Amino acid sequence: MTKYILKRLLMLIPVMLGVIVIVFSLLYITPGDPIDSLLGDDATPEAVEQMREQLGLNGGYFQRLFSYIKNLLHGDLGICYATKQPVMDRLMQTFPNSLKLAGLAVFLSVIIGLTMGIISAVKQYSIFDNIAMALAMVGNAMPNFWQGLLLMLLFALHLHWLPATGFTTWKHMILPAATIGTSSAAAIARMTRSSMLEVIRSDYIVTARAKGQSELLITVRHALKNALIPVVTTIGMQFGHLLGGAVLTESIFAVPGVGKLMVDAIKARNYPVVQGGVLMIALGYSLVNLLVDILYAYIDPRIRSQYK
Amino acid sequence: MKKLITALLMLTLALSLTSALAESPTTAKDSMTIVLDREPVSLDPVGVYVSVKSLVDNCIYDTLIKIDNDGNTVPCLAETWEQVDELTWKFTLRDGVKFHNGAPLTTDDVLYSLGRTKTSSVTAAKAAFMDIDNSYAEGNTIFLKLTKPFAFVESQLAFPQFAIVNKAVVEAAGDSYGREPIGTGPYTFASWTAGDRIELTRNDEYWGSKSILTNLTFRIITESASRTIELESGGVDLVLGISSNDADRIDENPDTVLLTRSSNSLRYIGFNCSNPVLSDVRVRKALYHATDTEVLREILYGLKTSGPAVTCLPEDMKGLNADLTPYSYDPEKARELLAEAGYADGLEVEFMYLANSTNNMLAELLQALWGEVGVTLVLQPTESGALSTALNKGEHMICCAGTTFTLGEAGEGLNSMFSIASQGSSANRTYLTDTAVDELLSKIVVTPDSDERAKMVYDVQALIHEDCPMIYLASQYSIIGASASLRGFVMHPNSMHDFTTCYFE
Repeated sequence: MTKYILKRLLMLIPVMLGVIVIVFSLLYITPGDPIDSLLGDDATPEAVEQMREQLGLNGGYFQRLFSYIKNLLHGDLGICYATKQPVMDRLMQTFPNSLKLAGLAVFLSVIIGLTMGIISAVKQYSIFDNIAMALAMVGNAMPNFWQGLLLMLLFALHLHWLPATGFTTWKHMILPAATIGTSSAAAIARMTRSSMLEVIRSDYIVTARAKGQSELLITVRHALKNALIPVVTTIGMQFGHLLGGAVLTESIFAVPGVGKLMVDAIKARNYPVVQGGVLMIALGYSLVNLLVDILYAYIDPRIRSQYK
Repeated sequence: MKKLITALLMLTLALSLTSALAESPTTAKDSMTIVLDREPVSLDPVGVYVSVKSLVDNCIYDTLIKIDNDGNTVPCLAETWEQVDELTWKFTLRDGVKFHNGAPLTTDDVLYSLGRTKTSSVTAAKAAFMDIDNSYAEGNTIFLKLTKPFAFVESQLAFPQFAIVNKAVVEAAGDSYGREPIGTGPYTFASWTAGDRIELTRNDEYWGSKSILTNLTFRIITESASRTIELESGGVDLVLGISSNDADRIDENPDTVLLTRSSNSLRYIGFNCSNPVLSDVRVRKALYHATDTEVLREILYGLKTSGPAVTCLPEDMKGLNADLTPYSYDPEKARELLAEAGYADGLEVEFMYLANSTNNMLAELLQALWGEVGVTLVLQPTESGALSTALNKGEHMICCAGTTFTLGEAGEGLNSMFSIASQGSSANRTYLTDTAVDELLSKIVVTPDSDERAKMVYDVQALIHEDCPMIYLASQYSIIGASASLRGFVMHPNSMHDFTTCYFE
């Protein structure tokens, strides 16, 4: 198992290298100049040239790429063009907010999604099942920005139960987490239902029933455990996705997260922040995937034997 | 005895008047939350000008001179000032002014601050009129030397980028100064949570009228709909940058108030006059005649939240030439002019604009209007970073743009928009090359007499109007939404709002 984890960690190196090269190349060919937003429009050509030199923007593609990778190997993600702070500091100011938001959203979506999925599978074709699956479809289809504004209008403006925007107290987290958690809950509910339906028709479940075990015990101990593998994959993917910052949701609810930071950085052509941000998200996504793979082994001992 | 009674009465009256004047209104709450539509990058005065940054800077710093709510120059850190000769201005500093760290304001700080504007890459061009090396101080008086005659010394020095900083603090802080500013203004900097909020507290040692409220919080909410909902739900007290779509909602809600004021901003469609097709004035005029500007203004900017634009100056701007007749919507005339210019069989032009809902709608409307006169409009919706670079290089044919007369000076603004030297800057999107206009503009910027300058501003508008380098769309208003319980807030003409008089009922 340890060997497997180490192997997977080593595989992260080419993945990260690929991410670096792709993002760097995309930014290199994107039109727009960071100097425009840094010096404004009144800057003299000499000042522009001096700033360009200072930021290392005068070099060619390979020179700049290699210089970036070299600095990265020394743990230096660069300096934010705008605030002159290290990029790592800027990411560390925002990443915890995205992490909290993603964590709460996944927590809510797991509770709601799993419950809905299990009951729907057990009570297949019942009214509950039909309503739950209809809701899951709506939840999947609703655009986040629209849903966010509707929740804000209802809970902040009309009912005055929750604050509309900001990210200072736990109350501020509920609406954005509910917004981004809805589609995750829908995905988890649908996946749980289909996976459970497959399992509860298996022979060993019939045997368990024949032995006279209670339905609750059969559902939780025998069916759910075996149905969990695809569900855990879905949860992992949703969490990895949310770690990247739900850009629209962060903007609507004014959450100072990594997604919003990156959008602002892209607009200002703040290259080091964009590169650092994408790298952090890619790393987060890869680590969550690794964690999911490790979890498989604990859920299903058959898989553990395959990890060599 | 009578004299004694009179003296006592006078004393009582004087004391009661003094106490009445000193008494500030009681406020229902002690703090105010103001929403900005974007985050300032830095609070160092010499940073890139963005209206939200200048607004916060204006709370933390003071300038030598200020522009009041009526657009007049009034004393600030300089108690008095006068022009000594064509190249010398004299400023006498106010006594007893202290920075937020307790250090007294000195002439050294003032000369250092003005000198910084010359060495900063961002402000060097604006500060080029000052000759700091030969400027000097005598006691509490500063003699500011100019490199050349310059008409807008007062308004330029009143601009927040020319705010006075503490030399020792700036030098000690280095690059981090912009995130922990110290000034002499009515509020001291308290904290900055990146991407979320900037907090200020009242400066109890302020030399001028102290703020009634103790705390100011500037929250950053980039999404326009969220700003409106936050105001309506009572989460914030003042929202700058209300979308014209939300104006009616704010106006009709009994808990909120809609405030508008002409913001010295002009919205226009700019023709790149250096383009071979558009260098023909007949083509430019034809396109103007093919555009129903009143309908566009009503649909895009709202009649309540914008004013008509009849010249290249915004509505209510001092020096506006009201005698000019705007080009009428006349498709027949447009066809005639296009035929005269050799485009009877049709013409294809490109329109570059920032991709947002208002501009997308403008582009589609223009496509329909110009299509009626045989002009095919190729749309080039562009993202902000790429757009600014393309426009600065003059790569566009026709663009949608806006300009703000930040100093409130017509002559200075027109010079930035139409002088040959300004081509390639954000204010000049038309690349107009007219030597008569250029000569007049270069005279305007060195003429200190405001009446004489006003006459030239009047004349230059007529010349520019004849050149037709742009289609005037609207005079944009500054639109603010406020809580109905807010009192004492007055909109500033250059959006440098003063919050010291604000309180809540």
